[in-house]
Amino acid sequence: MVIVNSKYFYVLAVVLFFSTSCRKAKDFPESEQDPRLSGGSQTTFNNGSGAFDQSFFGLNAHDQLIHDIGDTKFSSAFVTAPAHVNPGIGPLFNNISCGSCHPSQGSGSPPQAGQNAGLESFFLLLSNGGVDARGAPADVPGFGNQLQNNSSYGKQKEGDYNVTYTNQTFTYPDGTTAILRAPTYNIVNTYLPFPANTKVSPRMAPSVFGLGLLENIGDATIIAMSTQAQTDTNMIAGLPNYVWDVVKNKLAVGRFGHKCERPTIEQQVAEALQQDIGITNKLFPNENSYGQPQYYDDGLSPEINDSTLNALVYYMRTIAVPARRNVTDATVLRGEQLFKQAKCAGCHRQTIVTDVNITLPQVSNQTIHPYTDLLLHDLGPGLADGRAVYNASGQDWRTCPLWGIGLTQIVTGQTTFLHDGRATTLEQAILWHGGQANYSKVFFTHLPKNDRDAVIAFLNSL
Amino acid sequence: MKVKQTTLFSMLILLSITACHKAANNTTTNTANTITPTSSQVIADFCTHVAAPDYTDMYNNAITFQNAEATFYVNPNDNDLNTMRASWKAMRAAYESAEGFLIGPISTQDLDPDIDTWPVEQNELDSILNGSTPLDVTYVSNLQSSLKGFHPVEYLIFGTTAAATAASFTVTTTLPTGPRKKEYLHALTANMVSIVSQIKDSYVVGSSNDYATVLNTAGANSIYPTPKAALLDLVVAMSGICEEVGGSASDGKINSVYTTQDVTLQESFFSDNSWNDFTNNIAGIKNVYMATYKSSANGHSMHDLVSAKNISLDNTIQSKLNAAINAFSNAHLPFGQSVVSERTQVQNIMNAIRDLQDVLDDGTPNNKHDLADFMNLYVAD
Repeated sequence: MVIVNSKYFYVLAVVLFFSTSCRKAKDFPESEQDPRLSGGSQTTFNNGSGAFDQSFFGLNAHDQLIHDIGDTKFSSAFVTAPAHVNPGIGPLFNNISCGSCHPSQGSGSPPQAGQNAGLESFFLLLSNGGVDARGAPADVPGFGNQLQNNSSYGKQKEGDYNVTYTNQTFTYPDGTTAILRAPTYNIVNTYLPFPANTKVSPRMAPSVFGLGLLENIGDATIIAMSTQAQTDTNMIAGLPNYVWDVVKNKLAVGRFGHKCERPTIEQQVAEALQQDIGITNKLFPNENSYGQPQYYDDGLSPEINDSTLNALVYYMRTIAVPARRNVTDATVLRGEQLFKQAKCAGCHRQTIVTDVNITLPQVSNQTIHPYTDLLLHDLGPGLADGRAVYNASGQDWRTCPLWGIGLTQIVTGQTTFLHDGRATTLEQAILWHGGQANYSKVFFTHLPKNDRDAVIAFLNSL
Repeated sequence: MKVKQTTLFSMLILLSITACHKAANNTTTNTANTITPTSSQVIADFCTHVAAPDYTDMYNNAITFQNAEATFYVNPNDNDLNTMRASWKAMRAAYESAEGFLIGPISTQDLDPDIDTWPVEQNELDSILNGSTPLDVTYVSNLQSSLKGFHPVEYLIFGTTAAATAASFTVTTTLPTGPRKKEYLHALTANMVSIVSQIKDSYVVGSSNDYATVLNTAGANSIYPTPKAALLDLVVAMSGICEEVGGSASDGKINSVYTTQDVTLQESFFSDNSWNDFTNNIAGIKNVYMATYKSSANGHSMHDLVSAKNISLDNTIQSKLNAAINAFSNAHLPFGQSVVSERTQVQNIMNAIRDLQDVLDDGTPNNKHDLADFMNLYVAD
């Protein structure tokens, strides 16, 4: 038996007490977390024009190189093959580069009202109302599942489209008013007669930071948020989407796209390359015009090599999340309180812990504040597109992540929100909510003006 | 010397306690000090002494180009072709130096893609030239950005493997025919001048895309909550162009060509103007730091802000700026040849740019080594 000198034991205990008091607890209660760290350890404090294009921290030299290559390719224009640099665009496409749709890695904007769209950060998805063998929206013969309104020289584009708006006046209970613009999309100049019963879903390009963290939210976590909400009255029950994973050849939980259409960043990037720019790749080796009169097999598929695709995917996976601002401002704190009381946080989940990931430690076990549950919610007829996507009905939309939304203007020079950019202010975006979000909207509309402003101030702090 | 055990334990305890404390800020600060000049003055003079004259210079050269092109359009001749080439390079010089502050409408209103998209869509351009579609301004304006702006113009007036000549704009026996090239150049020029005009207007107070007012009202608008935020945005832009050009072991504009020794990867390939592009990019950073453009008088500057508080940092930044700019003079060959035959000089240039980037914004917040940290620490408003 070891006899310990009591005097030394006492001193040692004091030393240990002070030493251990320096250690951080393994798990902080939420009240002790820094609310600015929206992306956990991968939070950038750049809140300027480049806030949405900051690399993850702690990448080794090789990984940083891959990130940087992906960054360069993201911004570069693609050209028609054969070409030495960036070949493969077309023959049908919506735009010529990733960055053209996601300016400064931020969200896009709708076309100018009343004019046929050109190269836009926006497109129209199509379906004939049915589903294919995998449960995906069925193609429209001659048009596929996306209207490509641009084509290479000498090729026929599928057609043009334009948007017009009808203003609606919303009147608050206190008598103040807000103008909401309701869009109507017109498809014109089609190269074939356009089927009258086609389902059309307008889509504005979203921002692309923080995707690696969203991807690392586990399936079980997403499903748990869905089931928890069925018994927790503060939460609003959403549904996970189950979509076709083209790599695994089976259904998987969807995370990306306005209706959770894609399960992984890789599939999102690969499908955007093929559908939006016309670049075939290992996941989608056929041109978007396959089976149509414009289709031309140049024998070059895949038009983007696997390494470049991988770099693009890695880049998208490793963009940091901007930190919140003004988190101790009294108005912002009041707005946050009201945001919770209105049950906005029932869908726009404030805090999620990502899964463990030993291959990418930067996204592993991170406490993040994405303000989404990655679930589908019925937002009512006002926002409905009528185009079902797997589990998502024509009224269902994915809860949009709100992190970084307050930096939209400085990054992109404009403010348009929702899946189709119809809202030009955050206030309008709130007022368009319906369906499962109706309680929140009504709560908001019954607040006095200064409290409504506080909610907006809170959103702008994200 | 033998240290008593009790003393050792006391030291351990003290160590344990003090280890909990954050390191004291060892930078001398005086909270009563006000910075002279104010951050608002620096922002205002950035607009009037740097951005506005730079973009005006670009616009004036665009007009010179357009005038030469107008007479060339009527009567293709080598004199006007040479004037176009010279004014194209002068436009590029002004534009590339303005890339030292790539914020505002130039990046948020698609002006940069419209004027400076690379690579050129050569296949499409040749198809258009070989076709019969009327080539008016409206047609060209609606083309994708890889078919308009600086580089398609460069393609036409400098040529590819065979240098463009005035005579090649009159040939009708081979494709693409000279008259089609001339029509395209005519429409391209009008489109280019229109875009350059919009870019210039972004620092004209009262214009439809006036960003000078946005910067000057920082602290009172929804874009910049404080003047400090505006200054930091400029610093990040200054650092960003270092990354784009010098590319810290990445896919930078120099490094991508240096690594592959593939000259077709250089942006200004047709004119072989890349060294000038890069030099002007870095010179543009210095313009912002010193609040001057070409021979104009210096305004209130970041240099003034820094030197008032930390002469050592100011000296370091100026030294790195000059070192990076001077490094280019050690490469004597065109860029495409330098990456093969002057590899040491090219590597030194990249190193100098990366050193400069480190003193502008090294990516580590609050380590007090760079300009971004200085702004965070000392700019109060």
